[in-house]
Amino acid sequence: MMIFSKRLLAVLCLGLITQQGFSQQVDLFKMQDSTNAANAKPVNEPVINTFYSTRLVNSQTVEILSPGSMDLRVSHRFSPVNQGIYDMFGLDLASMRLGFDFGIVKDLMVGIGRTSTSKEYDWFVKYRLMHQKTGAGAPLSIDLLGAMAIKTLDFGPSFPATTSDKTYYTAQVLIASKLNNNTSIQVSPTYNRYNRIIGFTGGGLDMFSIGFLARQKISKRVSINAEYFWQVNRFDNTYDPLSIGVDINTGGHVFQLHFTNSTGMNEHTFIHETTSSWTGKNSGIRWGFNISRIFNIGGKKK
Amino acid sequence: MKIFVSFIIAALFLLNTAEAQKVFGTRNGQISFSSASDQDVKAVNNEVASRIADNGQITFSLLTKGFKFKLAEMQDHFNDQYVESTKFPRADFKGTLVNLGEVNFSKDGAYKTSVKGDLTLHGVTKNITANGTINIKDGKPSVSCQFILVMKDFNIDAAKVTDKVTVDVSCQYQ
Repeated sequence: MMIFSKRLLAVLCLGLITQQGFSQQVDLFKMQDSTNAANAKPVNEPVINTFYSTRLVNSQTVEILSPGSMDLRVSHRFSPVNQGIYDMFGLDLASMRLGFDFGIVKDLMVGIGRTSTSKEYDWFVKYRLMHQKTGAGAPLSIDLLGAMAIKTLDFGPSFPATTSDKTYYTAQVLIASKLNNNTSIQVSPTYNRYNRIIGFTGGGLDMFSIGFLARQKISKRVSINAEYFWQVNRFDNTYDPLSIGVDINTGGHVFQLHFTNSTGMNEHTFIHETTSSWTGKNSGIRWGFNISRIFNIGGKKK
Repeated sequence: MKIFVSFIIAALFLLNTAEAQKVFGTRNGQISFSSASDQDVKAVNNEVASRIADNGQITFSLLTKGFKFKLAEMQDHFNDQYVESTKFPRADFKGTLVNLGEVNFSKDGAYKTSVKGDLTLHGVTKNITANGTINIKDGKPSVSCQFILVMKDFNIDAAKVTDKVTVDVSCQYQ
């Protein structure tokens, strides 16, 4: 019996030790770690900020304004830098576009604008067909763009042209991929329709081109951008537009500074009506800038 | 006798289970923050996972993408440029009640308390202390607390917007 008592005592001691062990087992810190590890599955969500803004230089990007946002865009393209000090390296003369873009619903935005050159009005609708995701399923973002522009410049009684003659249509597919946190690329097959060719020879009423856009972030708020459009068919004495610029994103504002050989800011003008080149006898590199300021004008209440 | 011993062991295990510490948890706690200098800087996360145990341990876990702002653009900037949610998706806190002795988890009431622990945010872990209240009602605790978070401490480069935010924590546990 004595032996059994000793055994019993041993078991009791063991039990107490076990109990001590059990008490210590509740460790929320370890529980949190294991829960976190269990929940650490790869997320698959839409990528944000493929580009800083809805335009890179002249061209549209796949970015879509969020619903209820209004983007006020002021764009300037100056005269060629090589005009020298007399024109203050081009700053004396400017072509200007004032635009208002609106995010309507998720994945849909519209915009209107007015350009001083040729007194042109334009408007567009941009719809996001597919949104690139961080995980599997959607490696690209694809947008569709439909745009219209009307020149209201009066050519005078010697050159009668109706409003229809001065109307232009654009259809564009924007295909972009954010390759990593810093680098994004976009390819944009583009179709421009002219009702009448005014001031140019060659080419045709149906004009095709492919745009190539790239962005490389160099800090959290600054990126270097390049934009090039290859014209499949072209008017005589026109050049492919090439622009190189910098985006400075201050949060709310995006400042876009660039050098470009095009004066136009709407699809048909900058792609097909660029009459200066980067090099050669017709060289005319210009300085230009876009300022984008986003306002929240509606939608969700506080 | 062997049966008797087995019985004792079994009883001890049962006793252990009965006396295990109480753990309370929630998956929809609320953490919000706001800035005194910029009233647009205001966001709330309603999907905070949190646990509290009567041994004084308290933990919080959240996904920074879960913070909802009024301005969608600001939410994008917050995730992309400030807390870098892709790189650092999660914020965690592991803390201990400083005055555990004054909190009775099995008695209803409001207990002023202070919690001290490690907050991990934006890849930086820092020891913080926050004052708050634990309310016990019908045996279920709820906590609320407020503290100031300095952006610089967590390498968040948001100087253009705000240098610090006030964080509000509110969790009802089950």
